[in-house]
Amino acid sequence: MTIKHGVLGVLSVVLLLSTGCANWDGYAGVDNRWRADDVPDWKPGETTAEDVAAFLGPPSQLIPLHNETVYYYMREGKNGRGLVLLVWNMASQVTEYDRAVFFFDANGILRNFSYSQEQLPR
Amino acid sequence: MNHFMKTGLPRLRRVLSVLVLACLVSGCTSARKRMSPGLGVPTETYRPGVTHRDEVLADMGPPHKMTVLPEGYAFMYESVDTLELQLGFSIPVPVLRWFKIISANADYSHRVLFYQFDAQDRLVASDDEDTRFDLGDTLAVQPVVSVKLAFDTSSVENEVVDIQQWPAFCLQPLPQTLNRANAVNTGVAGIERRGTAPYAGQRSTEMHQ
Repeated sequence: MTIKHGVLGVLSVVLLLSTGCANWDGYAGVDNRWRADDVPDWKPGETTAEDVAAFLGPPSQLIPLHNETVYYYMREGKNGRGLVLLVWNMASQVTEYDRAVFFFDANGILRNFSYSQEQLPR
Repeated sequence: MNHFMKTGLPRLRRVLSVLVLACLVSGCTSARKRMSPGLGVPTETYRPGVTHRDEVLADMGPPHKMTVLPEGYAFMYESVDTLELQLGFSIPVPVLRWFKIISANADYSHRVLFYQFDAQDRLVASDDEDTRFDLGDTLAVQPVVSVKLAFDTSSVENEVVDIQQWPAFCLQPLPQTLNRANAVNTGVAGIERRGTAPYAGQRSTEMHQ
């Protein structure tokens, strides 16, 4: 076996060990229980802030408007993948925000609510 | 077998040598990061003084950010898409063969939808902007077997105090903590677009480095 064969073999091993792929995901924020199968049927004019807080937990943000209180829930999800082939490398990551918002009047009665089109798995 | 050893094997060695050389002298990378790519498009024409908040909510869903204002409140929706392309090459001489020189270019598009409502939940003002920013070109040197982004887009991706990190603001430098009541990401003192330099306006008192 010549030195050239040895160098070629080492380089081949280095190249093989330098390639790889990866997948990753991560989540932050509140549990998106508004996507649960047993989520209550929120009724504007009937549902109270206590009902919402009891099922969804404390909101990500509580925002006081002039004559309303807003419960804002958000869950962030990141999903990515990478491919390292040395000659060609690729990486991509998508971040999405699953959101729910509830508007309550001065008496704590639900006026309106909405869920985002972006959904994250539970 | 003897025929392969005489003709096929040398040819295979030449092919492998060319492949190894190609791997060491070149390398391309594509890195893409998207935030809220599913941000929808308004299906109706919103009219100041006419459109109600509930119509916007039904059409666009909850905003990414909202804030109370002296005479009402505001919604903001954002979507960011960054793309970095790298072309790399190395010089096959001793020592230098273990590093690669990369030429990189990056840009990002930033879509922002803004809606301001009065105290009666009627639309006061709105805007839908989709802008592409060129982050420029750069040259860098990296180990030949590493893949690393050349551009730092954290200012667009990360918030100064992220809503998910509540109450991390308690651990922020004192000027930022003291400005907490007037910070533009608490929902009570305004809204800030991603990527806004934290050196002006309401943030100037926070003394960001």
